[in-house]
Amino acid sequence: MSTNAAAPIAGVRDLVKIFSIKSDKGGAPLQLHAVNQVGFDIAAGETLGLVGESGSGKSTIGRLLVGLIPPTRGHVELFGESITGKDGIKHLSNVRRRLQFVFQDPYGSLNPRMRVDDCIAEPLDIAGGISRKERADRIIELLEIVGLPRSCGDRYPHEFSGGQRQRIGIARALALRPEFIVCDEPVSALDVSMQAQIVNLLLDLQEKFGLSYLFIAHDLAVVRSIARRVAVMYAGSIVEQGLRGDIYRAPKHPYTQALLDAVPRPDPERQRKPTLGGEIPSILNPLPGCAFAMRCPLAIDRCRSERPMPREVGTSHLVACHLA
Amino acid sequence: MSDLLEIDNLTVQFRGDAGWITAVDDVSLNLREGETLGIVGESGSGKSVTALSILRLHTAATTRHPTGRITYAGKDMLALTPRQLRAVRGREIAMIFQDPMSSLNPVLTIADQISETLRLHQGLDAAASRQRAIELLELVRIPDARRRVDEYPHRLSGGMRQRVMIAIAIACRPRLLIADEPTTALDVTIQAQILDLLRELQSSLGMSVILISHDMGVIAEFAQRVVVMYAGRVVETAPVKDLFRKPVHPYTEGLLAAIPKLDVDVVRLPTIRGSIPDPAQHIQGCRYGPRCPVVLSQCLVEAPALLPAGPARFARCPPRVAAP
Repeated sequence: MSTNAAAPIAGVRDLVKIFSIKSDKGGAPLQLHAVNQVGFDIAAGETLGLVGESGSGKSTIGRLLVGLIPPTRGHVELFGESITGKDGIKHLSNVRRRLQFVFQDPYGSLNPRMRVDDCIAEPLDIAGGISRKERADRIIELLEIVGLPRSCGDRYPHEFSGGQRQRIGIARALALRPEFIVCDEPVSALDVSMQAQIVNLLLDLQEKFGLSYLFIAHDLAVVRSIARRVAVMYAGSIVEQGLRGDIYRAPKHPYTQALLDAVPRPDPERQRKPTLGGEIPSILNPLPGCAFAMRCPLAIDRCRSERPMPREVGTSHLVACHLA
Repeated sequence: MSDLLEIDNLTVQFRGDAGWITAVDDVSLNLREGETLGIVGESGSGKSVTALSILRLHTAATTRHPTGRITYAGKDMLALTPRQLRAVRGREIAMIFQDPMSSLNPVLTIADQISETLRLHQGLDAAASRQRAIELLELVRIPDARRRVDEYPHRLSGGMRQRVMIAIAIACRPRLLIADEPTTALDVTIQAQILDLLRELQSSLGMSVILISHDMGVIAEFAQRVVVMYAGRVVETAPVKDLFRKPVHPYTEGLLAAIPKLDVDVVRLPTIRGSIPDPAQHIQGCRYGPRCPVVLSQCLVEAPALLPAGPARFARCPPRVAAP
């Protein structure tokens, strides 16, 4: 495992993913620009939070990053090896065990016919090479790590609440001792009182095992409670990324500002600024220029004709806006 | 102001695998004319079941006839005949739901669906109801209403569909609008737009509103008075500012603390221990007792009553109320 902070554990450059979908009117397939020239790095032991509204491309990035789907263009590096270049497939299979994925839906991601102990041990069974005794011990250890009683092992997923099921999903992800986990909306299906428990569990595990996370979520407050750095997505692009404090305290991109302002706070006396109008643009035929231009209160002509590229505006603070 | 709606000692039970399951237990609340009441709670708290009971929308085959009283504008809602009930539904009391896609009929145009209520309750003919449908779409700020009125729901975005649902709900100028998680399925910037719209319509049409939500932020921003529910019971009711400034019930306090914070960095979120109880599970004494950080031995024996806890406030926690 690399402990060199300079060498990122995961990184993407100029990443593009275009899905071809059949047009409902017939004719040429439509080109869905899900991810449009995205770049970021994740250092060892770090959490990068990826936030955005639906259709912004955040889940697609998660899947691209662990090689579940190939990119249309661009580079993905994991543990210092490219999984998109020459010999990419070979490199991916080399690093696969060091990666895991935790899904949003703890109901849909566990096999209802498998006992909890078998769910948790399935990655071990696939990897092979362990004795029955080692397997049984590891299951007990994993249940303990995620805060479930040992007796859970011989029960079935439907007997558990959403929060407990997410613990089972996390135990399963930890089975092969990964170094990097992509968590795709891991707490958004959970009630508030359960969310906090799972967020704290992920923080504990990170500290204990030195894990790195890509934490994908639409909830800005949840991301603030777990991520060290945050990237904000809009219509397939990262519009702003930086340290948590900079993004939440002094956001530079007008979209980040509007997004933060739109979140209702548990404070009846707060005065909200006027609401951002319009809707998320279609990613079928992206217009030239900035994707946010048509909703942006500050947009000038240049924003509609020329796409802003990320620029450094402070220490590791990047903003893709002509006006920032 | 007088009460428009009064619910007294409402109990609702559903058929479960082993006997009747109590989803709502002895719930009492009132709503004044023109008021906005928020009902907040996590899954299984009974907030939606309470609201559905007002219009008697539960499946008859699996629901026991509710006990208690629901009085709306002098009418005993639980005693109305199906015919009398139909005259109230959609005309005097309207409802909007979380998922606008499954509440709209996919094979009918927007015009057809808005017209249905208008023709039934106001006896408008086809041409007049179509014209009125266009006006309603304009009222809920759907751009290009004249064209959109002939489209099918799948052509619209989630936010636009919820606007259509609102147009249907306000078509007959109801006195009471019940909104059950109306923005939960929407992105945060769209949520802000829908909340703005509901607020405007409420004041221009003079409606009373019951807003049901799991989101304390939405409640803080929208409600005047709040009812907090837990495991089928009301645990606290208070004017919105008082509730957020100084919650009385330990559950309200725990829930507010567990919400991820958007405006400050928190190292670790405070949590509520344990999980939300299964409605089929019998809990002796206070339902929150097993999770409560300040539980006393008496709490686990005797079911607590809802007691006065200050001006216009009630809380179901005798230790807190008796010794403030």
